[in-house]
Amino acid sequence: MVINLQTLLNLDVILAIFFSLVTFGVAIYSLKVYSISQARTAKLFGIGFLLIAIAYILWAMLNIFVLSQTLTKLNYLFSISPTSESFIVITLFIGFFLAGLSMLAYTAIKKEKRSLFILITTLAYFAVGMSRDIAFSFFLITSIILIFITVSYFREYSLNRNKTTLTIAIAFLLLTFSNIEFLMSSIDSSLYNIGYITGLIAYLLILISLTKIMRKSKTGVFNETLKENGEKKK
Amino acid sequence: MAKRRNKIEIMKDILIVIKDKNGKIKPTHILYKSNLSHQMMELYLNEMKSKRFIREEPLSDGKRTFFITDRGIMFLDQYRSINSFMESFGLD
Repeated sequence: MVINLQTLLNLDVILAIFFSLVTFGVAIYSLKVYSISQARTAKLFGIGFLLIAIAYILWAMLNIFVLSQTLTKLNYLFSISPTSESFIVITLFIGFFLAGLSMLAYTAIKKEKRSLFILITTLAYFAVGMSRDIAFSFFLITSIILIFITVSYFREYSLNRNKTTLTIAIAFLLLTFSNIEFLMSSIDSSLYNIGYITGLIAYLLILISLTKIMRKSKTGVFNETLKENGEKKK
Repeated sequence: MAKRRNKIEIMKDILIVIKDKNGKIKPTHILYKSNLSHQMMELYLNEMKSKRFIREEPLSDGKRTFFITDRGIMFLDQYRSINSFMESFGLD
């Protein structure tokens, strides 16, 4: 099956917007939880997902820009030399994505040391920025951070045995695979599409988990207590 | 073995104890009902005061009394969703 270049770019845009919406949803809900509970971790987690949501919007913008180029020049996607505009957008995308992911890793460490976040982010920026192959080092660094987050979630599941935590752990595992597939796409280009599909499944799992949690919010603790008391009387 | 309570659950338990006492309680009562050590209870009360879930007022006899605030009531009302989100995403 031959996939049209324009179709591929359209899919890239649609998927980037979908990823952005899911991560934005998690961010908003997390910040809502923070506004009620004043829990610091909820604030950091919300900011982390918000940064990733912004990164995906930039990714969609970049794809739209490349799409308009191909429509006029009918060029190949990967042979287009980066213009100054696209270079800025790519830099911003990498910046926001790394900052967001570093924030999630920092939240997973569960230590109240701001210097730890600065250290993770600085190391990530330096490793990507100083590399000759920025794309390769970006996917390599994000894969390492994602592996760390995935392990943290599986450890969390082993402690709380919560099914939603397991779903989220699997989602992060898939995101890691997706990233590794993007990393390997320079060797085998078909892995690029597989990477997107894996990412789509991962974000669908996160969306399902979030929807499940939001459904629970319809009953407050007092409604539950009243229900329990009623059952005891019976 | 009973599951260890997380931070959010402990705060919820303290707020329920205050709410059950018509929104006003003495620390000794909290200590008795919340199943915490004195040191831990003080830590939680301070954190809950900083989050403005409760407020402290001295009585004429010099003893302390804690009151639940509107923010504390809102926390209790939204507790299930907060705890579910925090636990699921490993934020507690």
